[in-house]
Amino acid sequence: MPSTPKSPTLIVGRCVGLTVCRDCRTVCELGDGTAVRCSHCGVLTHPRIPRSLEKASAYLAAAAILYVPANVLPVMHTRSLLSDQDDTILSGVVYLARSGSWPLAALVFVASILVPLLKILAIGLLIWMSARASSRHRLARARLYRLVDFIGRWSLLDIYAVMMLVALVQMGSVATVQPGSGALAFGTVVVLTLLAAESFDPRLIWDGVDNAHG
Amino acid sequence: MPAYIQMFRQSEFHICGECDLVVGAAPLRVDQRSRCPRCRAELERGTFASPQMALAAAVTAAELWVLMNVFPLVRLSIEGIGRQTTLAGAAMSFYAQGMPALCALVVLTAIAAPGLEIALAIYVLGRLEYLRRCGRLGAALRWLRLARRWSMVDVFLLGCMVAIVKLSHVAQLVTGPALWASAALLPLLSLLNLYLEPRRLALAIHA
Repeated sequence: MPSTPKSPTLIVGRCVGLTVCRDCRTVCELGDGTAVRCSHCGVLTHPRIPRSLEKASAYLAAAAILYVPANVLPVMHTRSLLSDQDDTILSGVVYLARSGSWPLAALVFVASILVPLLKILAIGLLIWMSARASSRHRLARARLYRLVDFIGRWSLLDIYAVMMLVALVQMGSVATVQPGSGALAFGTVVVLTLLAAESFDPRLIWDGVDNAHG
Repeated sequence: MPAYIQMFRQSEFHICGECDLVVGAAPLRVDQRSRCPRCRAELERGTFASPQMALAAAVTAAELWVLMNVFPLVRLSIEGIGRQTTLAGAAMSFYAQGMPALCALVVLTAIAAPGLEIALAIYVLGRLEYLRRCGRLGAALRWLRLARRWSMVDVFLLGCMVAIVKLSHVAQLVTGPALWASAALLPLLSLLNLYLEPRRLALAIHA
């Protein structure tokens, strides 16, 4: 991998009155203003997402609060002739593991428990370090942001799985599956973390480098 | 703005969307991609797909999307009682069980967003192919980005498989045509994602 050029000609868009449209990637001339209509698609383009850290931390706080009910409350109720059972996300993983589907158990554990938790921590870290205008580990933070952005959607996996169970297992008195309130909380957590990642502006990670380089 | 930047044309430089660095652009070969030298975000990617290929993929994807929505996903039978469900039927079961928000989430991410993504792909590619230089595609590109962000056919398919494995111990399951259609949709959607880079399209229109 080539190393980052250390030349003094590191030009940052905002410093030369240019910015890039988020939607169509057209380079827009900002001039001295704070926002410009993209010359190609007409969307209002800001050099940085306005109030990015405030928005992202609001979404993140809501997600962190809901993470608790999402894991504690049952995501589904199973009623059958022999048993009446509440399942949380974790007990679903245990069931898969017991029935011998280790790869799927690992997948659901990672997608539904580990990823949302790590994602909340990661976005929190990104927001915190950007708010402090920290100059440490910039490249690692940029990579963390991309990882979070890429992986977040996979957490909806469990919602789809519950949906299929609810749709298929409606056998009257033989067996019925109903969604639990945990599923609603869990779906909300995933959507909120997606919104938090979307409103965090990764360019904030790099702000301040240009000052250092003059 | 320094004069040396003013001299450039759109096609000759990027501004990295993830760190705001101004980077020179060069035409890429099929197997090349360019990354921001500072934050390593992908700037542009060469593609083997021609516009005609992308259009063909989009039309095929549209057909598969219809199949995915019309046919049953899975058929299950326990003790002689059978039950099957379509994608929309599965989403509606959330509604029927008093979870309209989750129903909306599934309809949005598994039905509406992929559909919008495919429709916009056909619209954008069709206009580029047959009606060159007839105005802007701005709004379409904006919606395309949004639809792509929320389109989750891949996640849905894996979720289906988790449910199938869970049920396979207690019931007989037959996979339906819609499941295969959604599986076939995945490579087409990723080909479209590769080809429909906003920048490639914006430049195609300016050209």
